[in-house]
Amino acid sequence: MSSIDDKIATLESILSRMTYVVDGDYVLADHTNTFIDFLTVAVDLLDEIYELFKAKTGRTLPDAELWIDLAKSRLQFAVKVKFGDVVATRDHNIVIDTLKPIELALVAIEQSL
Amino acid sequence: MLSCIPAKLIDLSAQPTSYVVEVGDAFKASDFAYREFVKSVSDVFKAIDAYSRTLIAFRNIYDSFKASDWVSRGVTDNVYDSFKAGDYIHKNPSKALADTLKPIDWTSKAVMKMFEIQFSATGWKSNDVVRNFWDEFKTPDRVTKHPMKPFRETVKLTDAYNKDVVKQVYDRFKTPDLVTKHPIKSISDSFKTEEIVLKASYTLTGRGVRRVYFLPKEYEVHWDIIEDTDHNTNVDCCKSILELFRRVRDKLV
Repeated sequence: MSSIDDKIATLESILSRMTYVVDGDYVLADHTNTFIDFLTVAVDLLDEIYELFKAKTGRTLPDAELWIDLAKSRLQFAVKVKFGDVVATRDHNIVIDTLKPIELALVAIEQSL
Repeated sequence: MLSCIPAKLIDLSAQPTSYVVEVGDAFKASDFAYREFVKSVSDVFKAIDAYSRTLIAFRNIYDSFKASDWVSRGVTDNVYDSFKAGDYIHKNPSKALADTLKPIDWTSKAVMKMFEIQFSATGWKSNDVVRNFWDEFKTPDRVTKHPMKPFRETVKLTDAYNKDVVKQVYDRFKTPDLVTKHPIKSISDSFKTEEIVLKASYTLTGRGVRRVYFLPKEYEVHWDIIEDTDHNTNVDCCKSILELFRRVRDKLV
């Protein structure tokens, strides 16, 4: 459980680094990289929570497993950027495309508890 | 990547954006028409007759002599009428038609000669009869008379000449019609193609998020720009996900 707490704390830390922007602001490499850091920890945390769920309940959730595997596979396409790189649509899409299965898996686990 | 998410399980909404590309292709076939039309040639002509006529006539009209003279009288009428009507016509119309013909000429000739013979009895006469008579006969006659009296003979020659030459050639021919027609073909073929690009957007933690697309150059007008709202929505979604993690963790504990 401490590991889960640590990861949640890490997520909080990453989230604290996220900033809102307004029209005209520079698009920084850190904006994309922060999201990727968040997703990396979130997918790891999700996998750990599901294992805990299985351990606690003795059940498996096929749908949740599907979403978890999908989140892991999509995360592999996430690439950190650096200053000077072109902001690609992939950088934006990979964030929401990975967050979506994470959300679905968490909802499935939550509804099963 | 979108296809990996079953639409029935998530609140996925796809916004189809269609691009209509019109391709028009029109072509025209080569047209050609070959036409031979009806030929009707009516050829009517008349031959022109050329003839030469030579008339030689010897006429002894007056002769006086005494009776008991043996009179030999010869009247020679030589009427020489020669003519030649020969037409040689070679006709070569547009078709290979050689038409050589000779006109048919016919000539009818009627020559009437009138002899007037007057006898005058002077001196001895054999029959003491003065007779005037007219003799009429037709040539071509060769007359040998032996009258006992001198006589005067008046000969009147009347020639009637009648010649009719009518040549009429009527030639009509007709070529078989051959019409080859290739009608004009105008084929206009136009078609439309439609490309559909789905722009997917869905909700994430109850918030509407959208995927952005970078399309080929020809669809530049449909390019998406990552707005500040897209970034801020992602931040809010991350916060909601974190909150969801906390809830699940709390339930698991």
